[in-house]
Amino acid sequence: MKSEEELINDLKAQIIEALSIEDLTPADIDADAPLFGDGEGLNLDSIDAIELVLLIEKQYHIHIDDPRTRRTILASVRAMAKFILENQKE
Amino acid sequence: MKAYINAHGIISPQRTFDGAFFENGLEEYTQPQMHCIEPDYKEFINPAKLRRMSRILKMGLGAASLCVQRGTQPDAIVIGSGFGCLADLEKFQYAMKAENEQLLSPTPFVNSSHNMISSQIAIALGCNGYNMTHFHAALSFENALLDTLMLLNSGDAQNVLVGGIDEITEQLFSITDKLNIWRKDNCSNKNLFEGTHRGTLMGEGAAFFIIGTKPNNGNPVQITGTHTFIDGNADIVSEAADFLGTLNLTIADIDTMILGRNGDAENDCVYDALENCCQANIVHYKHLCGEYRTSSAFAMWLGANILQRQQIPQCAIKRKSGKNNYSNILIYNHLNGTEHAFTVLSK
Repeated sequence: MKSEEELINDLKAQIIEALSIEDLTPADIDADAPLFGDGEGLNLDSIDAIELVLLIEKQYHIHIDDPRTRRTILASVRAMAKFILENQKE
Repeated sequence: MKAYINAHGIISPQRTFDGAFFENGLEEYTQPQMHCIEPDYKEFINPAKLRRMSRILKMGLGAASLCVQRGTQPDAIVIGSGFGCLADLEKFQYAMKAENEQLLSPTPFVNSSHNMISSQIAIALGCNGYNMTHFHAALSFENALLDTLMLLNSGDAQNVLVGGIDEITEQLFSITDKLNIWRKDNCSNKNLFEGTHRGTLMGEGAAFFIIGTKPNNGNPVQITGTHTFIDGNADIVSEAADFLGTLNLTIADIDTMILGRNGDAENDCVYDALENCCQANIVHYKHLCGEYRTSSAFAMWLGANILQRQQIPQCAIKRKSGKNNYSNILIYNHLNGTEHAFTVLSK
């Protein structure tokens, strides 16, 4: 299983591709910065949130059962990585 | 009521977005697809919004933004398109099949909606008024234009953004190629009208206009009228004469005709009678933009430029008459000899 930092690097590249963020490289993304919100972090919106949930389901085969937890899971790249590590089967 | 073209913005296979086409002349293509020469969209579209847009959305919003920058804020938006946001529709449908209808990305689905282009333009411009998209094959742009003229005539709008837009996709090319409608001999668009051939070149483009009830400059071009009809056995000269009659014009009043010849012998013979019934200047445009459902929007852009500049680009002249003052232009285009559209521009 990958370490948290390795997974964070993978996620950054996958987010850039899934959301077509052409102007950024993985190094430009702060793993602890908020992903959503006006003028904050990547400044993503609700459509992006659906794309990120699909990314987790497709790439890591983890289904997010409770939609209310999505806000926490998708708070930052590090939060996504922690959720994946906690829920990924060996 | 009079309707004036107060601004235009166009993205096409020629260098038209910045007007370089008029200095540089024709861009050559030796493949059967003529793709648009696109500007750097970041100059007029918010980069944050840009990343989720497909190419046709960028072309539409880019051309509309260019148009509004040169004109005025519209209070209505009307668009004509033959196929709409086809690339995203294809992407969404392929994903449905590949993913067995599970875990589908919402972006191509949202972007594949027929009215997505007019919606995105409305959001970008903050235009909350009338918003309509017309899909009527080769008559899409003229129906959008007719809608625009009715809006202006009714007084429901004073400035309307109207456009025609279509994109090339590989899937569309591959399906329509089975009908043998595209050239297979690597013909250059420069030589499109030489010899007798079947097939033409596929094109695409986005042409937008601000049409207002009052001219906003000292060099106005008027849309005198537009007319469409569907008839596989039409007498085109008589139809043209009847239409011009409703505008108090005759064929002799027309100094320039812009015709939709595309190099396909079967397609082009429909234009012969009209071309031979008068001494007007004859202008071609499909070697500049290719064949697509809303190519007549390119023709209208070309016509507006001829009237404003009082000059026909050398690469577009098929026949030059002695008429060097351009005041009445008739645009005629058809699809399969069945769908016909006339538009008259006047100075």
